[in-house]
Amino acid sequence: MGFLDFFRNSNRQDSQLALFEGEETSIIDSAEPSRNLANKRLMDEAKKRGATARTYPAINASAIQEMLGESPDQLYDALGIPQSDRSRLPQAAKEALMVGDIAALEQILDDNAIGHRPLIQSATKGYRKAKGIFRWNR
Amino acid sequence: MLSLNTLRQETYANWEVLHFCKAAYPHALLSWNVDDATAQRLPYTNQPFKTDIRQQFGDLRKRHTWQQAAIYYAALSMLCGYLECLQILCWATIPNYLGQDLIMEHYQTELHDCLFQMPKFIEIIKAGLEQLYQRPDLSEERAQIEASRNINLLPV
Repeated sequence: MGFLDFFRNSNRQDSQLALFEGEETSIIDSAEPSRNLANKRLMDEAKKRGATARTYPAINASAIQEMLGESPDQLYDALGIPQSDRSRLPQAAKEALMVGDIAALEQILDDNAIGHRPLIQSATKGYRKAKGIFRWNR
Repeated sequence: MLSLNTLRQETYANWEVLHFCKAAYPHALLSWNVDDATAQRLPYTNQPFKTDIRQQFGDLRKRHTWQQAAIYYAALSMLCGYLECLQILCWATIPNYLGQDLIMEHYQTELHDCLFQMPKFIEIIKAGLEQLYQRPDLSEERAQIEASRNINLLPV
C-alpha cells in the first residue's frame, strides 16, 4: 500500500491517459517540483473546489503564520523586502513555504474540502501538521 | 445586480481576510472556524465591523454604503494579502483567476479605479508584468492577459 499502488490507481482514472489505453508503457509525468509549482497546484486545486478570490489570500497568510511562525507584516518588515516579492525570502523560509503548500494541498484532497471556509480550514490544518518538522517552530 | 445581503457578506469576507492577513483580531471567531449559520450572521452581529463601515462609508441601511465598502475592501484585502505581484496582476486582469469574485464581476470599473488610487498598485503591476515576461512557466497567463482587453487599463 505504498506509492506504487496509489500511482497506478490515480493514473487509471486520469482521463487523458485513456487515449493511450492498450499500450503497455505507462506515461510518467516527470516535471520537477518547485516552489512555484507547489504554490500553483494549491491555487488551482482550491479554484477547482469553489474557492472565491479571497480564499487564496487567506490560505497564503495562513502559510506564513503557520510555517514561519510570524505574522506576514512582521516578517517582511524585519527582513526589509517588499511584501509582494516572495522570491526574495531566505531559502529556508521558501523551502518551508513549499513544504507547507504541499501539505495543505494533500489535506484539502484528504478532507475533500469545497468552498471558501472549508478550504481555509483544511489548508490551515495541513500547515499545522507540517510545521513541526522545522526547528524554529518547536 | 447584487443583493444587499450579498454585498454585506462580501464586504465582511474581505474585511475578515484583511484582518487575518494583518494578524489582527476581527473581534469575532474566524468564519471558517464556526458553523454555517453563525458564519452567515457574522456581518450582522460583529459590532466593530459595523462601526468600521459606518465611520468610513456612512449609513448601514443604504445600498450605496455597502457598494462602496465592498469595492474598497475587495481592493485592499487583495493588495494586503501578501500575494505575489504576478498573482495580483492576473487577478485584476483575468476573470476568475483565483476563483469566483462577485465584486470584480459586477463592479469591475469601480474596482479598477479604486485599485489605481492605492499607493502600491502601480508598483505591483509593474513588478507583475516583469515576472510575467521573464518566467518561462507563465506562458498560459501571458496569453490570457494579452487576449483580454483589460491590458489597456494598465500603464504599459
